[in-house]
Amino acid sequence: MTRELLKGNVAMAEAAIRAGVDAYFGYPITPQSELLEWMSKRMPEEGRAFLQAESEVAAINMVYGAACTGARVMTSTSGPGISLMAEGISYIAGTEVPAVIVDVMRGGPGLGNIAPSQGDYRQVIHGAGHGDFFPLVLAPASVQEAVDLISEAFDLAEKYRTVVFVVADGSIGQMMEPVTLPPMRERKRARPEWAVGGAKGRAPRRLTSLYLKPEVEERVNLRILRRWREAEAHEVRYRGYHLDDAAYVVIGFGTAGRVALSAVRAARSEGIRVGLFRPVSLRPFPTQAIRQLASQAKAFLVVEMNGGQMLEDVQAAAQGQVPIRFYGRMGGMVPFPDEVLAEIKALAAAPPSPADDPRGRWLAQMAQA
Amino acid sequence: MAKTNALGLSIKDYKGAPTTLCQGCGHNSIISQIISAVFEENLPPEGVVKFSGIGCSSKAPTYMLGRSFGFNGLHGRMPSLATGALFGDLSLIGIGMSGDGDSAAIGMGQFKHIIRRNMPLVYIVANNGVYGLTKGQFSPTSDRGMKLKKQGVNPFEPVDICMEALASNATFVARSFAGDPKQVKTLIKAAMHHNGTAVLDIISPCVSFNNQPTSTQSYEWGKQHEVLLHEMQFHPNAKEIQLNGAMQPGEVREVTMHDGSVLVLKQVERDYDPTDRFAAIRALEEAKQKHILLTGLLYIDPERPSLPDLYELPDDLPLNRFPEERLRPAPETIKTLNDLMF
Repeated sequence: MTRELLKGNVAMAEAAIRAGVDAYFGYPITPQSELLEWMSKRMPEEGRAFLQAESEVAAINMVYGAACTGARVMTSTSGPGISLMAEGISYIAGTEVPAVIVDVMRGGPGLGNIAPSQGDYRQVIHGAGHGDFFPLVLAPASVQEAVDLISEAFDLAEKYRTVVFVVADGSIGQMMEPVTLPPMRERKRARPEWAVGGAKGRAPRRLTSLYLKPEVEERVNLRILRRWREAEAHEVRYRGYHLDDAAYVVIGFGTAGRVALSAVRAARSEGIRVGLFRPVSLRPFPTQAIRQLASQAKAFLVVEMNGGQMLEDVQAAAQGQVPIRFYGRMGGMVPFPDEVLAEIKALAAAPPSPADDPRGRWLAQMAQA
Repeated sequence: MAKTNALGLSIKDYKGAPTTLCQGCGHNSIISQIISAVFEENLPPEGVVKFSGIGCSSKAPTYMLGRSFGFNGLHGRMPSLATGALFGDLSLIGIGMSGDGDSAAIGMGQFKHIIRRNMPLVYIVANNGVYGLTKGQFSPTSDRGMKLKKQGVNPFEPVDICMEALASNATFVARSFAGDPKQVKTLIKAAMHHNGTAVLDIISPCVSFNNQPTSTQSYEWGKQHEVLLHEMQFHPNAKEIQLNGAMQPGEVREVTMHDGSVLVLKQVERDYDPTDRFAAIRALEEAKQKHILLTGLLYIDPERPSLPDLYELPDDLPLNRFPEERLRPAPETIKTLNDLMF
C-alpha cells in the first residue's frame, strides 16, 4: 500500500469517496473548508453529486432528501454549522435514514475561534437535535484513524439507520500526516428495502418523522431505542496503551488522547506505572471497559480540550470506584505533553480522594495559572 | 491642526482599529467612506451603531467608528440583530456592513424581511462575489462561469442584490463601486438620512480570490464598465441647495428626504427618475444585458412609513431609556384589567 502525505480534511473527503459516497452537500466554514473543496473537485470527476448549499440548514436538508432515496450521503462542517443542522439531524434520526456528518471542531461557544477544540462533545453525543434518539459518534486521534473511521461510518449509518458523526478537532482537519487510503469501493447498487424511489410493482413505502398518534410515536421511539441498544452491544470502540500493569489510567479522546499518549510514555520512562485509555466511539461510550479499569486502577486522569464534558461520562462509568483528576484546556487551546506529564506526576504523588470534585479542583488550579 | 467637524471632532475620532483585510481590498475603501460620511455629517460617533454578520465584510466594523456601538452577529443574521437593537434605541443611526455570502445565502430571508418591514438601517452589502474568509469558494453573487482554483467553474446564475431588494419593495436601492469613493460616500450620506432600510450594493473587488479582469467584481472590469446613472450631491441642510445655482433645470432632479435633506441628482446620459420602480427594474435588466456596471441611486421612496412609524413608537425617548413611571401602567389601568379578568 502506498502512503501519501495528506491534510486531514482532504484525507477524510477522499476516504468518503472511496467508501462509495454518492452525494455530498456542505457549506464553507473554517477549519473544515478543504473537505468541501476536495469534494467539489473530486465528486464531479467520479460522476457523483456535489453541491455547495446556501447554508448548513440547506445542506443538512439536502442530506435528508438524498438519504431517503437510499443514497450514501454526507456533509461536513464545524461547531456553528452543527448547531444550524440540529433540526435536520433530528428529522433524519426520526425518519430512521442513514447519514454521515463530519464535525471538525473549533473553539466556542458562539463564534468562538477557529482553533482546535473538543467543545462539541456534549452536543454531538446527543445528536444535536431534539427528541429521543442516539447518533453514533466516532473520534479519531490521527489522520489515518480519521480515514479508517470515515470508511466505517457509512456502513454503521446504514446498519443502524441513524446518523453517524465523525468528530475531529481542528488540528486533525488541518494537519498533514502520511496515510494509507483504502482502495476504491464499488458503489452499492441495490436500494435498501426502506428507501423510496418509485413503487411500481410493490406497495408504496413511506418515510416520515411525523407520528401524530402518541402510541404510534412511542412504538417508533422504542424501535429506535432497540436499534441503539444493538449498537451499544456491538459498536463500542477504544484503544488501550500500557494498560496491563497500569496503576494510573489517563483517559482522553481524539487529539487530547494523542497528546496524553506522549505524556504517558514520558511518565513510563520515569517509572510511573501509567497507561492511556482512548475512547474511539464516544457513543456508544466504552462504559464497561472504563468500569473494569476503575476496579483495578488507583486513580484516573481525564484529559480533554473542553471543560470536562466527557469527564461526566467517565464519572458515571467509574461509579465512584476510583478517584478522578481532571485536566482540560478550553477555547481552542491544546495541552502540551509536558502539561499532561505534570498532571500524571501530581496524580501519582497524591491521588485525589473519591469525594473530590475533579472539575472544581481543576478550576482552582486554572485560576492560579 | 487637524480639520474638525461641527462637533469639534477630528477624523481620528471616527477611525477604528487598523484593518487586517488584504491590502487593496475594496472593503477598506468602503470603510474609509463610511468614516468620512459620518464625520462630514457631524454625527457624534456615539450616535451610531454598527452591525455585521460573518465574512470579510463583517470584520469591517472593527476598522471604523471605534467610539460607536457595534454588534458583530451570526452569519446572515445581521438584519434581525439590527431590528432588535434598533427597536431598543431608535435614536441611533444603524449602519450595517454585510457581504454577498452573508446576505444572499443563509441571510437571504432576513435580508428581504428587514426590507419588507422598512426598518431604518444603512444596509451595505460589500459585494465581492466570493467567500474570502474561508479562502475562496463561490458565493451566491459569483458570476456564472467564474473560475476558482479549487472549485472549478461556477455553473449558477448570480443573485442580483438590487433586484432582490426591489422585489422586496425596498424604499432605497443603490449600487456603487468601491473604486468610485466619491459616489460611495454620497450614497452613504443619503442612506443615513433615509427613513427606512437603505440597501447599498457596493461592488468591492477581492484582490486575493476574485480580481481577474473578466470578473464583474474586479477593479479593472468595474473601471471599464461603470456607467453612472447620475452625478450626485447630498445636502443635509436643504437651504444650501438654493445657493447651488450651477445646476440647470431639466438636468437636475432633486429628491427630498423624509427629514428635509435633499439629494441632488444631475443626469448624465438620460433622464432617470429614481422614484419609478419600473424604471429601476428596467435599468437593472438593461445593465445586465449590456454587461455594464450601472451605479447610482436606482430607486427611492422617501415617504413610505418605516417600521417605527407603523408601530407608532414614541419619538421623544428610546425604549431602552424609558423611566419606570412611563413603563408601569397606571393603578387605574391595572384595576380595569383585573376587573376584566376576574
